[in-house]
Amino acid sequence: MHIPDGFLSPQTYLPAAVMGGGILMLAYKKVELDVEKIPMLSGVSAIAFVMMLIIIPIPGGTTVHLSGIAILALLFNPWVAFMSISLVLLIQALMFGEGGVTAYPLNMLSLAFLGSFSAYYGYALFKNFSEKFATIFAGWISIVLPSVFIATILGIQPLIATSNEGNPLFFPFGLEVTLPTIVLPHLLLGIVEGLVTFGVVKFLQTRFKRAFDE
Amino acid sequence: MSEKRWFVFYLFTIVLLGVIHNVWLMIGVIFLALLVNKEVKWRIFKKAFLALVIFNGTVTLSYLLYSLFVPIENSVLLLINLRALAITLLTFTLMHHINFHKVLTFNHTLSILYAFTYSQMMHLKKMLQEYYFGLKSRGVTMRSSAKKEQIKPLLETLFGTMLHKSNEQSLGLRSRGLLDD
Repeated sequence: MHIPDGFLSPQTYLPAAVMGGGILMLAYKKVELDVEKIPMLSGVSAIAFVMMLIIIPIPGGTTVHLSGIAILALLFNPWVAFMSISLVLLIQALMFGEGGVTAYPLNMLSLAFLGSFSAYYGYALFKNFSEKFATIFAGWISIVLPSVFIATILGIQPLIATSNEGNPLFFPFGLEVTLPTIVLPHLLLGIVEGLVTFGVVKFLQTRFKRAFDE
Repeated sequence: MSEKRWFVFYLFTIVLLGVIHNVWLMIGVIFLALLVNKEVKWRIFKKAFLALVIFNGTVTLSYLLYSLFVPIENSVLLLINLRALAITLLTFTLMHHINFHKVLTFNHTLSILYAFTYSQMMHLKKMLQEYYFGLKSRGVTMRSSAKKEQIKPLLETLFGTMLHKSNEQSLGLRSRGLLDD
């Protein structure tokens, strides 16, 4: 779901960088990282990285892949998940070119922030109804909501950044293209993400109960 | 120049590339990046070009297809792709020449977190690659091995290794007095 370099205008990524940086600072204040948490956080970030390794590019300007965001948000908490995914996205952008450096603030806001918090609160919304449904929904919403956000951001590029002749200077397709081409595949992928989230969370909470009780 | 200064200079340059909409400037930056990289230039160029094809390729193709039916300015496509290639090349060039860990030293926790995360990511990636090669050498495909009874032990190994390494790193931090309890 990462946006690559060259698709976003500075009018978009500069304010996003300020906003993303602010939220990241807040996260570092909220999550007091001690000697135990740092290696654990780096470990779960690595697991999320592995889940994001298999990517399929789609015409709407982004890619589809599993994320593991909901797994982190449910096993730990949304702030830890946000910090962890932000770090993964940074390393992916700098070392592998997966997701652009200029697009990093928006990838962070959509995948790491929206993904983590929608998963956490999506789960809280339905957990009294059914634990299983709530977990699957958390996985689904953690993919779908960021995809809607990314589709909107990409789709407004031709409106906010054009040349004097009216040609787009960055991402060339409007909302009528981005919303269906990005959101529809993610509606389906969200079901897979939801099922994977349910399976992995249940498995890890059973087999590694001690690690999460500490 | 220090790592931090190079990084600030790099950030300034990529913002500049987003503000100036000139194809020749992008080509100039690409050539400059190739010159700076000397003997590793083609390896870095190949990596950046591959990233461009994978992540921007589908949009370029759909835009080209679109232009068959609707008259649109194709120079826009050239500018978008050259800009993306220039930025990606600059990113890989910077990462090749500086130690990014040193850029983050303004925050002790962040620099340690980055170092640990990167090492864990590479470790798990290597483990998965070895698992894949192991399957391949036994004539098993990834698709046929994607069964519950095979995925479960893999997941257990991945997570178990991660926890084990986390504990090891915690002990290492404590014993070296890098972080206070």
